Amino acid sequence: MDMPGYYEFCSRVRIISGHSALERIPATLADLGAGTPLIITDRGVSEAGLLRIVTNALMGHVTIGEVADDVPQDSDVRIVNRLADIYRQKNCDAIIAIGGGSVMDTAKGVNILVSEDAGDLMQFSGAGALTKPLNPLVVVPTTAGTGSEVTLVAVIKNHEKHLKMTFVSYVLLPDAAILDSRMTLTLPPVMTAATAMDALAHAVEAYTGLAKNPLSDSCALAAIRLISHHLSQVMKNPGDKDGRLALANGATMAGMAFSNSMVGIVHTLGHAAGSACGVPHGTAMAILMPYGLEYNMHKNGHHTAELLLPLAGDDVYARTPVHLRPERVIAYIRGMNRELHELSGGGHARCFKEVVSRDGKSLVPHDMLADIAAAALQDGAIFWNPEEADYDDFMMILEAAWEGIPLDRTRIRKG
Amino acid sequence: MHVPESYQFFCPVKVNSGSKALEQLPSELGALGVERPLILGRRDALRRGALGTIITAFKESGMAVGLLDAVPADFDVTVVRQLANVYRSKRHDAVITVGGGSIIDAAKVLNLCVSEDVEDVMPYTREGVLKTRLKPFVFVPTMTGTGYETSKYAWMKNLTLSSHFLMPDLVVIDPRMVRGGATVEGAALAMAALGGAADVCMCRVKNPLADTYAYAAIQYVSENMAGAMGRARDTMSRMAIVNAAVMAGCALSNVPPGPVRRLGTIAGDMFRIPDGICMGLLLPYILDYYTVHHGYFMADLLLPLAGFEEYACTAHGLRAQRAINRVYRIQHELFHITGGAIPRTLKEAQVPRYMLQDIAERAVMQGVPDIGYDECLTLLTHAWDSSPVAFDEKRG
Repeated sequence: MDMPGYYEFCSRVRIISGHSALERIPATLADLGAGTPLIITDRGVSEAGLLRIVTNALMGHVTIGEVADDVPQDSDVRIVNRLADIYRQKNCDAIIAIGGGSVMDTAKGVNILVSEDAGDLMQFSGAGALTKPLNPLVVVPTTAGTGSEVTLVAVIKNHEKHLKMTFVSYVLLPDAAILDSRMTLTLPPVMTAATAMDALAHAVEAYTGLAKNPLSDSCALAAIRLISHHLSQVMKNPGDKDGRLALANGATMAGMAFSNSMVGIVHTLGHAAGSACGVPHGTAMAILMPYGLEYNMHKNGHHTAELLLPLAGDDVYARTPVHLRPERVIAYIRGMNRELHELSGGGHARCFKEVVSRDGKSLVPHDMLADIAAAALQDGAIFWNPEEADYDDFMMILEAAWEGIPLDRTRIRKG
Repeated sequence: MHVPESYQFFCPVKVNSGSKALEQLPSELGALGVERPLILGRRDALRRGALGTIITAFKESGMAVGLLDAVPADFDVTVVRQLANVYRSKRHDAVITVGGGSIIDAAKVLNLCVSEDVEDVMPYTREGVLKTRLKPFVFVPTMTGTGYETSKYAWMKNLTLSSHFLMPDLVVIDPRMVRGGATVEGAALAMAALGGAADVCMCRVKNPLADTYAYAAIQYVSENMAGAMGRARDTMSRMAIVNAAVMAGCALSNVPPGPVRRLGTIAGDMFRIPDGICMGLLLPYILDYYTVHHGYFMADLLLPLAGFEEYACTAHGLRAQRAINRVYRIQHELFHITGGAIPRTLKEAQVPRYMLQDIAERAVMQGVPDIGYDECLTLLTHAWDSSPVAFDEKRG
């Protein structure tokens, strides 16, 4: 394991994992000196019955200040302001956020306003504007993928002014993340596949990126092992509680890895595909991951090679000659995508041309690739990618990823 | 990898490691709202110029830095009271501790006293009494220590305090601070890290996140021991050893103590051998004994100890033994590098054979997992005369 010239690692979130982890929330809140939480979640979570499982676990131990289950898909400054008012009116002293990335971002935004006793989020945006510890925040992820439960970032949009505010501070790290198998047990196969591949991409990019460090490496390897071992089992048997818990753990570890070591071209193009065409993040990650590894192979192939062990197991690793291991890793991830495609009845897309909206329309028409590449030029994640990339490089990758064919590695410009 | 039915993990420590890490310290403290940090150190235990390096890092920060550089190694409640008086009267708002060992225990107790505004720490000996974060607390490690510096534990005389809130908020590992120091001290730190981390992996109550910290620690020690301790005294290798000790302290704060920590501390205290050296010395025998007699699962230890290639190419059933042999090899290497200064057996550590019973008695009293007095004595006998554990079995 290399010793980086300089690195930082911080993951201050208390991780509480288990089949009955939710029952530990009251004690956790008490430890944090709180007893009246505002619960923030979205309709999907409450309609799936997950909210009730959480409130049942709290019943009799905690006074719930208010339940707000109307967080939109995209976090918005208006809802943040409204929820902050409710928090104050109901004399809440903590937040429990149940959901995915948007819910957590919203909760982080509300927590900034109520802790700083402020009315306008704008003054706290950017890095370093927040210094004081915020009020208690407990998060309950309902997908095993984003890793938002352990990240120090929140993105909140102001749709009226077409503004996107980004908040970066260690004080945004939640106090506790509750990983309970019941929260992901009913996640549909397509979502299970996409979110798990999102987590896998976090771990893979963390391990093969420029800002890798010993602790993020260790988290990434553990995450890859857990996801690779349990994903197809869970797809075949969605009620596999142990498998669900393992995936949730894998996603959190992957979150710890990437939030301390950054990501690269897979995320650059994934963000762009999301903003230009609305491709779900996890789906984009799954499709682009092999291409990112192919594109960077001449720079970081020796790191990619090591991923074969946690991905495919010791037998395959030992039997594969050293120089073939990076390609084997890429082939393995493509194989995972194919398997997920089959196990989800074709719902999991293997390439961009297979990505469709709910009503069956293609989300990525071929003529949109140029727009994705243009959007990618604006994305900061590329900074930590081992090889530089420009518009043409993005187009080359996108063309191949659209069609679902391997990258022609002879065409990669080696910088 | 097994994910247990339930577990908790908490590590409030941020690690900044690498070139010019100290220069980041003022801005890190500034982000925590600190204006008047107090630096604690022991000038006699530090390399010349070490404290100067830190103070220079604050030169342009505008912060009013205090320095107490003669904290006695054997501190007690009176010393802490004096430190607290200085902290309060000079209106300090953070503690920076330089170097490992007892000084950091003093700093942890001091931080508890000034943050909770108490003089008596007795009520805090029960875990869970402390509920809130303390004032900012920074640790700047050197190549000496016990491996417990970043842990949740603090010792003062006969008192043991235990709380995650005692752990440092920030650890700054800077190459300039890990240079120098006696080889034996460095070796003790490395072996403490290895022993502590292996102890975490042995734990019956699996904690996957503690394991990730422990794996990284074991790998760093295994790969860098020779480079750090050998003639080259390579700075990067020493950075890796200090990193490993920091990670081990974080990992072991999340699982109950196992046999390596228990026996290492007891024997260390009884015979005034650094705990780390004692843990390292006992480690292979303990691993061996628990694998053979109690079916402990040590196969996975081979991965951080020997690397991907050897792990993958070793048959599953042979991995545990390979891992144990690897630890023996590290021990021998260290023995040769230090010209015999680091003992490999209790005999070489000058522990009289007749005292093994006393160690076993204390160990059983304090609770060593899964083994009773007789077994403990057998294990210690192996560690005394370096007889391999499995050999008995074959002979029997």
